[in-house]
Amino acid sequence: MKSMNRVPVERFLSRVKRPGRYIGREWNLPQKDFTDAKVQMVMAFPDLYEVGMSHLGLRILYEVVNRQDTYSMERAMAPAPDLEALLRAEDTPLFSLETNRPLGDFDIIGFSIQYELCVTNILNMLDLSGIPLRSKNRNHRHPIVIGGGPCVYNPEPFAPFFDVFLVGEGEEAILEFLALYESMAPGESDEKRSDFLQEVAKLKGFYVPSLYGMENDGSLRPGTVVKKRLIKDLDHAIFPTKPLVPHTEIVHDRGVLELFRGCVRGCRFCQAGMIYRPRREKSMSTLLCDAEEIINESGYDELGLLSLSTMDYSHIGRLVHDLTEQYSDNGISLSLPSLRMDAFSVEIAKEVQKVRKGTLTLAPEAGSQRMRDIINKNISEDDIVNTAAEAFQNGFRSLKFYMMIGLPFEEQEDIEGIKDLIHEVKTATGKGLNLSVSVGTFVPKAQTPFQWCGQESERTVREKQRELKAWAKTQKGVRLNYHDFETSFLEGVISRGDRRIGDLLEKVFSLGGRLDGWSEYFRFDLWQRAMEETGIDGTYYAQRWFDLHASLPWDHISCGVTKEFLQKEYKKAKSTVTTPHCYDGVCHGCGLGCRKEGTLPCDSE
Amino acid sequence: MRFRVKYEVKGHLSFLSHLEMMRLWQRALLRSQLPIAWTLGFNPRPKLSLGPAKGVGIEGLGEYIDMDFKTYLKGNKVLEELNSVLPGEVRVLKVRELPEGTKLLEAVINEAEYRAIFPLDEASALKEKATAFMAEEHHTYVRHSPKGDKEIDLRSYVQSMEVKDHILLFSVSLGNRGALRPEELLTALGYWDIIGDIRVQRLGLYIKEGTHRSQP
Repeated sequence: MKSMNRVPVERFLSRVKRPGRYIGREWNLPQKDFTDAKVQMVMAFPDLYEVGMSHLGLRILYEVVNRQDTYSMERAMAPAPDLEALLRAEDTPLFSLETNRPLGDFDIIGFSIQYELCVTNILNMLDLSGIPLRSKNRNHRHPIVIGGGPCVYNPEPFAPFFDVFLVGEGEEAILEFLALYESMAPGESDEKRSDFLQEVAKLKGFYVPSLYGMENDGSLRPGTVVKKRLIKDLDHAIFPTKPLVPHTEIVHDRGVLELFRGCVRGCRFCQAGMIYRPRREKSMSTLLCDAEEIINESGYDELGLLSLSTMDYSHIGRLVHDLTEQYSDNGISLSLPSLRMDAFSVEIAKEVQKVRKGTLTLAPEAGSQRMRDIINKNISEDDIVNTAAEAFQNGFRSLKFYMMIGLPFEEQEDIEGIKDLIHEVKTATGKGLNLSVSVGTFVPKAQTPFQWCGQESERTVREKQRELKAWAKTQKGVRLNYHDFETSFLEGVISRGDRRIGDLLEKVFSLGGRLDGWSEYFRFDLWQRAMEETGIDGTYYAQRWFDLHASLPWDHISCGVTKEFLQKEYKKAKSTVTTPHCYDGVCHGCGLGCRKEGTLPCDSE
Repeated sequence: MRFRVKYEVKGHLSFLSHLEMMRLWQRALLRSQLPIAWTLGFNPRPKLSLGPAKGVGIEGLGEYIDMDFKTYLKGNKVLEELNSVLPGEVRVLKVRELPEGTKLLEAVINEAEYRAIFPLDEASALKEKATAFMAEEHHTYVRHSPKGDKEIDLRSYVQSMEVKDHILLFSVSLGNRGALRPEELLTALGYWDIIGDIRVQRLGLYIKEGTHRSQP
């Protein structure tokens, strides 16, 4: 079954830009014979190498699987257009980075679906491997195609192309999946393949879309709910402390410490804040040990402290202090994602950037207090302005603000609020401030309190963008950029789409859509044409408001947060009422039940 | 103290750019237990200086890099330690201590020797083409770049050329006026269409003074 075909990659390397993307052979590659394992999987990342290698989830699963002798995991990334053209011209399949074997020769292909618009890359990678795009057209000679990542909290738009999805964290689930594959040998016959998929569906967290049928309203039948997987003891979970070190520069080119998973701030637009609950921290001792090993084994000169809101780590002050003390003399710097808006966070930022004061990033998200209450940001204008002023006084001359427009229940006064906030910040800081404002457009996401809300029309969004841009031009020291409408719109079409959207996605791919997350390759005209040709009305999907009690296309997928909680939060948003975050000791009953004597009911039936 | 490290880079890693090679060395040094010396400034980096850039995809069999250490070290120790933190396709071959005041690699290296291995059936045509090229006085070539096209005289760079069966050996001069890229020479010889099938190696870098040639 397992072939030893090898794609002669060298033939292409001299003819493509940045061949470093395709050569593999990174430092810390596992010392194992990948071709010798009983079950061989390839993890396909549907984006370019520099994005794929920046993704922690892929690195974690790579470590988990390759520690096993009986299983192996290789990697494959989406090809840039120049390599794709050569592969197609010379009728050569896409290959894995480790052994350069065609993807079709593996037992299992896994796709990490981090972003809606990477779907054309998924289809391209399957197509370049000679694998039928649709699950129903595959047989036992084809690999099992499995997907995971945040997008599978509404898997339906992707469902036609996948044999199975894993919902939630994969550290434990992937080994159960591989063990089942080993024992059932689905590659031997079509019957065994279908038996295998039946059995996989019985494992917790696995969703086999072919076992469900779609109703007219887009919901799925039977309604058997697939509950997400989660790691209870994150502190002892496997973590890649001997990380692969790429030879070519990647987006996040540094070592990574994961401080905790989950976030309890409860911002109502934020999918990550819902799906990664409950919050689970790693201990200081684990983190310090991991840091030492990562630095010694990788040669990285920068260590990123990663999590959804890093400043909320219980011991962040001590951790930053200890790490700085130990490593700053060796030329190793720390990096933090966006900052919480309080004086303490500025102190931490000072410690992290002792020498050179770079840009500090803050995420007020909304300008008016009314809108910040609607989205449950739980910060006041004073918090924002004071933090900016504090940062400025401490030598940070460049600030970056993340803002959003097109939020549910938004009024003109909220757009004015953005201007007012920027004005206040400028007044409180003084001359010499460089303020860069990035304005995103709201995209409703499944499993959030705003999952029922539609996006605003193109006209309204563009008007607001124009207005803010024109205003910002009159403001000295302020640079304002906004995300293009088309991208946010398509994210909205897919994020709350149903199974019918699959036709649209396949059409876009067949028209030549690739790398849609990259502005230089994104072609909205292809999506428009695909909508025309398939008769799928994107506007309907992106802009409709669901009835609060309607069946939703993702009702059969559960992240542990109950629909009742999301409904309650939606109603509170509508009446501008906030919900405090859960540090204060009050459990708001989201459904994870982490307060009940430390147990996690969603994992302990 | 400063060491001059002679190394080779082969296989897939020969496809790294000059900048990527620099990062590879920086990270290898950070992984090692060697007492590296740091540059001053906001963004301290290990004190390293790579020899002349090598084209992407060309294997280097005798490349050079200079590096500084804070304390006294034995050459052998440096060689062993470096090889333990370098990926398999990069090997340190030789290490020597540099006397104070030794000139930078870039400043002294002025000749590079190459080997291009062609598909077997090219052997006879290759000999003719090489002879014809060497018989020319000038060979104008238009170099394309984003900044615009530029005419260069390829022949003026080539010091010697020799064919052994399907292997082409040639030496070119390096210096202030830049260098010839091997793929330009191969294109000029008429091999632009099979460039992906020709394996090119930079055999060595030299200091040439008159007729005398020495290693840096």
